[in-house]
Amino acid sequence: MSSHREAPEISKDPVADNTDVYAFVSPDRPDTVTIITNYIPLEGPAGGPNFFEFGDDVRYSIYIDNDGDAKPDVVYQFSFASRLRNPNTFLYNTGPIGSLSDPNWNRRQFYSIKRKDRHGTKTIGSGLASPPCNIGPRSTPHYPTLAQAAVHHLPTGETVFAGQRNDGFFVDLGSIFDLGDLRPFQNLHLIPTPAAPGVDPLKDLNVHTIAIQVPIKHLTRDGSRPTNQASAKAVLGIWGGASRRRVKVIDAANDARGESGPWVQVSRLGNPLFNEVIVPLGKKDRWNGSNPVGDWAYAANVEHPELAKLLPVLYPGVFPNLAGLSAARADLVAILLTGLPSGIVPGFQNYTGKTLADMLRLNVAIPPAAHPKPLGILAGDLAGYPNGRRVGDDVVTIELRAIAGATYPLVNPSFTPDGAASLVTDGVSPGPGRYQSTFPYLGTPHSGFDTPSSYRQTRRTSGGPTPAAGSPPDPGGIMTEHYADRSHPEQVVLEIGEDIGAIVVYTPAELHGAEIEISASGNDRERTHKDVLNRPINSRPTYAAVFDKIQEGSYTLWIGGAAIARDVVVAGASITELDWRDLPMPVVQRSSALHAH
Amino acid sequence: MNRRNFVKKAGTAVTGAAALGAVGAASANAEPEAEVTEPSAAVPSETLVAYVRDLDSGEVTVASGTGETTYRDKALVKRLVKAARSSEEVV
Repeated sequence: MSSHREAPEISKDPVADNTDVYAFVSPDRPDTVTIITNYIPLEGPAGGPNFFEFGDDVRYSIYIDNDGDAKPDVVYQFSFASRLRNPNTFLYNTGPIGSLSDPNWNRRQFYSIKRKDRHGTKTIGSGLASPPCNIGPRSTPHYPTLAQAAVHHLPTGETVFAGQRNDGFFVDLGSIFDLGDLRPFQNLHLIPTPAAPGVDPLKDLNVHTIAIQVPIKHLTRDGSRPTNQASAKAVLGIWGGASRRRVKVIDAANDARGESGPWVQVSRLGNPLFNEVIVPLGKKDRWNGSNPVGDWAYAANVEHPELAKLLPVLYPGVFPNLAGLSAARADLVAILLTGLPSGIVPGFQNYTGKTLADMLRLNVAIPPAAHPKPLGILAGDLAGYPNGRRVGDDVVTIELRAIAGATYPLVNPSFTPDGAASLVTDGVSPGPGRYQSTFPYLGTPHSGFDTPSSYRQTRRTSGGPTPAAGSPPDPGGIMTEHYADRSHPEQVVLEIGEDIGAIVVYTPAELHGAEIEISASGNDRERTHKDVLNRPINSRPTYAAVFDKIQEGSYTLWIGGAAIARDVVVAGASITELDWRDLPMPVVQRSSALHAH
Repeated sequence: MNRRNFVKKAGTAVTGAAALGAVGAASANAEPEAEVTEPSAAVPSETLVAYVRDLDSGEVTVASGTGETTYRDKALVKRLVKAARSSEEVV
């Protein structure tokens, strides 16, 4: 993962585990920079009764270097304090939480912010409320409103938010950690299985976000808002970190905790995947406790990354040119440790000098892209990673391709990357709801009630059908939803194999919710069925019925008792796609019962 | 916690803590003055820690191994507090 559970020690300390850092010129306020640091990896939305919160005993910091020495010139420090209204209940809330001051909300959290710069240290905000976690329709019925109320505008010009959000990071964890498997290419893996779409296990999980939006001129070395991208003062180095006190004493007899000593850094993050993929296991904890200015010690791991050696082994014959590349990877050093100097990518630089340091490097003179491309600079979008990092940037694919050799020609034009270097990907993309267009840019967190999405009950107000006249009363505002009524943006894993295939039937919208039946050719009587569901692709509604685990052979497909297609051939390890979107369709009724899909 | 708060908290009850490399059994008055030095060794896996519970009564707990003992030792507490006063905040 970007940095979720990336090192042995911090994987046991989730509230201090910095999972992602983002830094970008705010698309809706381009005179500001937004910096986001996320903590608490893999939050299951239903994780109560003690829902997730920041650590009261952790100091969360955002560091900005504006003069290229890899030392912080501006620091924002966030400190949290929990408050309990009623210690005599086990409940997080004793009724619906209608506002941040609602007396029904029992366990609340507040925070203060200090800014440290060359003028000294100043508290710029205190008593700032975090929102509750998104529990469900009874406890947090108007969650977006609650979250918006927790966006605080400080007198000093910063806008801040600290609380639960949708985790915007997307990656196929399950495959990558299974010996470097990439599902779309796993037929080429050393241990092959049929190729398949990527699966994103983070799509239903939340995270805790600290987000701050700062006027650019509050961060640059001379207090200006640079407009010349070639200027050194336009580049900011940015990273996040979390620290704990040296000593903690637990006094169980008196239910007290004591702390003492200096703050000791236990987590750090600049570039995504740096500690995770570049730093070897035996040094990861040490790296988390160190500072970017000492990252020269890890230069060899960047120049000769382990993953670049593994790819040709794991995918035999796919990366011959990468296998023959033994030179130090100056391209990766530039991307991760120094920034890209002028002259490598036309119209762009984010070079901070010779000091080797893992920082996000953001050129604030590059305006936000009107149409951001997830592959950032790799796709010609100069406002994306590795120019800082936006919430939707596909950093896994970018870094995979870079390590696979796609960026090496930037420093050695005579090198020809393998064809796969520009294609390799884990095959996942973020579905709808992951992000929003305004601060704090990460989407509304999943509610515990509604997640996992296979739950069959949902609120009527969330888009479920309106009950027909004469329906029984629904006092709780809750009703059983027809499964087909909601959108299904989740990835579909098709179980196919040696003699097992699948059929996907695309239909017009009019068939949404209808049943499509299937029978083996020559046996029209024995049929099973699937519903036509809305499975959005790139946020556009797409209506389809998916039949997986189909034995190799010939089949007939039916709608409303009429055979629409006969002799449909299914081959093993293959997906047969039928596009009926332009065919005239019979009038059909929706299926009416809940059943397996 | 800054030095002033340390003294204040230690005086009221629970939490002020200070790590020691060694705690002598003899009277602090008979020992030479402590000198400030740079750490030369890593923290041992079984760290000996002394923490002052109550400044006025000289109550100090010494944790070592898997056990701890609380003493009333005004001389030791006085010496610890004196050492704490020379602590500077590390950022």
